[in-house]
Amino acid sequence: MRRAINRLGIKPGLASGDFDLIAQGGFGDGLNAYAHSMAWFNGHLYVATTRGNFPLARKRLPISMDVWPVECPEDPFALDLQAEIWRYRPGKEGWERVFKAPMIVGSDGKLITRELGLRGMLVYQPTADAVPELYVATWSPAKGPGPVLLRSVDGRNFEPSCEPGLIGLPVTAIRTLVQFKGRLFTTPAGSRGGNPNVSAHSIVYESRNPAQGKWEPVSDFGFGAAGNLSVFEMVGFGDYLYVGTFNLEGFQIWRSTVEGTPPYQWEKVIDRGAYRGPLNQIAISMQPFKGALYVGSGIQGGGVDTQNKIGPAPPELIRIFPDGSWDLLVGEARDTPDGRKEPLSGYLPGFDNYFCGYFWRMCEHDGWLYMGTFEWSALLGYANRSKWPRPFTEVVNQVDAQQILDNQSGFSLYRSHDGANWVPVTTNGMSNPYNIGLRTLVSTPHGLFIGTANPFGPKIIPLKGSRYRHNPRGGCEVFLASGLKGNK
Amino acid sequence: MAAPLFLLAPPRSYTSLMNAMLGQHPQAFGLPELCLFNVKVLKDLWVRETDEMENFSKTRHGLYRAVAEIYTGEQTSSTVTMAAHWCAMRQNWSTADIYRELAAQIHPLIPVEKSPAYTISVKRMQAMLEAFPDARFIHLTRDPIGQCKSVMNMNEGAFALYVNSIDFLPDRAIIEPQLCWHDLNLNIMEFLKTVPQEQQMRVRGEDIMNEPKTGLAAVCRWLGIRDDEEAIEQMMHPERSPFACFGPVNALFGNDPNFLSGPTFRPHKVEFAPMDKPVPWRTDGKGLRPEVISLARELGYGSDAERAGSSMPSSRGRIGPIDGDPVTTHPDLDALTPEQIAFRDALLYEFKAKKVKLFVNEQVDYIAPDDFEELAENAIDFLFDEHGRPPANAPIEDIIEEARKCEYADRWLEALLVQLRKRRDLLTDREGQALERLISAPAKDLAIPARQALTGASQGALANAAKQEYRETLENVVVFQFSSKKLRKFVEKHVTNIHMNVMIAQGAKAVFDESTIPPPDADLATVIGERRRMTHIVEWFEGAQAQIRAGLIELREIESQALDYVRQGYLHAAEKKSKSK
Repeated sequence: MRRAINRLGIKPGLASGDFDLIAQGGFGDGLNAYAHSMAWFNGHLYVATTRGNFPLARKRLPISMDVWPVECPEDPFALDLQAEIWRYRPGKEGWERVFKAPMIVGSDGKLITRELGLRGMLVYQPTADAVPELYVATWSPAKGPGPVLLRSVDGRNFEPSCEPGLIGLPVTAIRTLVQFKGRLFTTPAGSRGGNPNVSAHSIVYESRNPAQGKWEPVSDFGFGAAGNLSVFEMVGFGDYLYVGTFNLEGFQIWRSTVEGTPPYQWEKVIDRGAYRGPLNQIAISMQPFKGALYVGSGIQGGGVDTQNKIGPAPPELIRIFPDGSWDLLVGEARDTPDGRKEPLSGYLPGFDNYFCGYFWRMCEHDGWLYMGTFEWSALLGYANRSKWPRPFTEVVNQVDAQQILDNQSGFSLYRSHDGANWVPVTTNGMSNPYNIGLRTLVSTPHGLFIGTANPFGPKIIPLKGSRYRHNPRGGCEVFLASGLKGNK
Repeated sequence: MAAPLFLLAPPRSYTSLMNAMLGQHPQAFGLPELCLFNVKVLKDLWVRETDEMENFSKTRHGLYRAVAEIYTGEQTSSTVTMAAHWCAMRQNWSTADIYRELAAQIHPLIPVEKSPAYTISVKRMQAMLEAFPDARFIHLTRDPIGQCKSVMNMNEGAFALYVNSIDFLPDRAIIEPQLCWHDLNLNIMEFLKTVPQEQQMRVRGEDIMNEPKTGLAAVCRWLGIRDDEEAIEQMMHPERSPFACFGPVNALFGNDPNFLSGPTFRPHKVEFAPMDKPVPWRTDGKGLRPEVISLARELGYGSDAERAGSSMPSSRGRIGPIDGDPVTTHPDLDALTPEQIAFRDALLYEFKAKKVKLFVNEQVDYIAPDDFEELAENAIDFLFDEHGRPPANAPIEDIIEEARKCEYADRWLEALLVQLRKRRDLLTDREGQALERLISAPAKDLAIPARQALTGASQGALANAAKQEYRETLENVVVFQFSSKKLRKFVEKHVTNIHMNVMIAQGAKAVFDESTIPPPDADLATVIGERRRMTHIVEWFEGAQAQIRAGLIELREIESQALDYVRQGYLHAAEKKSKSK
């Protein structure tokens, strides 16, 4: 049996065997591809989905596939793409669907879903005695009116709390939601034309009364730098609100005490992707942990930005201290204006995995920092190889895509007790190669919940297969680790 | 940070037990054998100096287990993976710095460690004192007969052979453990002359076995830590140490396997054998040498009368016949006669043959145990230690998983190697063509790349420089061939420091990065440089692949043994069941 705590006071972290699969197959509907956001609210776990990611990607993104892994109709809106919210109460059997996006008339006069996906979720409680409210950030179809923040007090009824596009902005998605100093902060994340990550409107918005939908800008456009294409991620740490950007020259990190009169004073903390440059394109995840702010990077498109011809390249992890100094934790050793940086973990980018695309989400749970990744090797067997570099094609052919799928594919989950030394929890998507990403992690009194990105449902064409068939492990999955189990 | 407590003793001197007991004190932290001071720089712990003797890879198990426990609170295959990366990140650090970092993590607990190999060389012990000027040292002793018998019972006397504790008879060489008992204790005593008195203590292991509570309390008072009943009681349970069992599959050892199999302490009265009689490990009726008896008396062995009657020499010298650096098993054989060298070789051969025989016997034992049903049940969950007992942290699933990883890594290495070799060959061809042109063409017709390489030079100088470069290249090839042994060592040294996934990631980068192919008009120096680099990378990968394949074979053997064991158990159980019907 594993010890509860060792003599140095360290309680061991979770292992893969500690997790139970509590939802699979996209809650019974394989089109629920991404468990895209998650929160613990009023004794329930809430999970919101994005649906039909492959069909949407085929329509909108320059991704070249020989065969798409799942059926992708010419018009993805022929599918049911109405995003859903599900909830789960520990100790009770089963899941309850509490929200399904309504159908509306799109700008072309056809019926479309109002929300394709729900990318962010937050319990907002500005003061200890305030009634907590659940906010959900939405992703609107390009022909829809624009994204909103859904609000719920009872966990069953979700209503838009603001006008489409937050304040009528011409954007399509909102992703990040942060409560800080009693206020709610957010920013647009995507725009029309197949740009789920580029808003062309990189401004931080603040609300002291989000229920009334009152929002005001509190930063300059892109913090004065045209290269900041989106404000991608935000988090409060110490006395500052930290903001990470999407920038083709490498992400930037800015911070502000958000005091005084808006627009607030902002200070740049990290530039040019911590001096790695374009390969650290987006500050994709941010999490405070034991006195430092951890920042994971990524390149849009799962690590290969075909639009901007950046990558493939695996991501890095850095940490920033309150005084602005920083460490490279996972990544490539380099000389920087801040001195020589060696990866303190001993890991190369992507935790030594060339196919890791993002360090996607982090979460602190029971004294450990957990990091979930996105890993794209499951797509190798389906991708069109004609534009690949020849050596790459030959290597993949020789290793064999089925071998890769069987032995390597699937997200990784790592954990660290000190932020510098990282332990693999799983490196194969919890034994499901179709779980290509770990998108959500939530620490609750009942344990650690994790939700996956798994667009390989409801039917899949197996590698070297000739027809689509039901994929029992396709569609997003949710796991719960209530505590340490055995000795694995 | 709290300065460490080091136990200095030859092996089989109660060191494992004593280390675990002291390490269980509430103010201390017992470590496995780290072997850090065997070398100066961490990566040298990965360098196999010779293949003459075995037991190389186990040297690192203790460090892996310690790092896993200290930084993650447990020892599993996954946390050992973390530990391997921890080491990779620090591979160029001095071992003193490594040790200091571990001690800082353990602080305020006192690190307690023993690695018997430290006593092989005074220099190693000096390095410990230099790293920790405040360190405390316990010279733990055991009477020569008991210690030597124990050494000979462990793995056919491997340790004694390892340190060249060899006696030459007129017609053969034999392992003679009393030589290293003497010389290693002498090393310790020589070293302790340089240590302030208040930082050292001598303890007879037998006294601790006879009167543990009294002896341990005395050590605690000397250390200035609690000696109350509760603290002593904690120390009576070495089996509670997280290192008092086998580790996970990727770091099974880190201590004497006998201790790992049975770490519980049982107080017992130690009987001393007389020192003036023939010793049991020799067949020629000879006993302890006078030098050994004299040193034993000085260390407190023998009756009061015997010790009183024993005259102590003013100085002592080594009695082992082989000088040199024993730990590398690169002994200085110059002092030996050709016959002695031949006898030594024969002894090594005999030792290896015995090991093979022992292995076969163990397999036979495995398939004929008493209680098959129980064994079958255990075997499905666990790998076996050498006594047929299941080590707690090595489930067979781990072995299979580790083998799967190796197989998969091998596929990647093979695929990358094909590409890397292609690239190297392409560069070699391009270089060869350029050189061919250079040496056959008159200076004025020199190939453009060569001219570009030496822009600004006169035509004559250009030709001379190009030809000079060619000569140097040829010389390099010759040097390269001659240094292949050295290169292999280099490859091994670096490869073993790096996790196989790192290899694959780096290889993928090298293969996929088109910019590593010089353009057709690149200057000759660039082509040569890139060809050399690629040759080196290919060598590096071949080394890695060889290692992974060797590891895979080992894992498959273990897996196969375990599964055979299971199969036999089930078959026997089924047979028994059918007979009972």
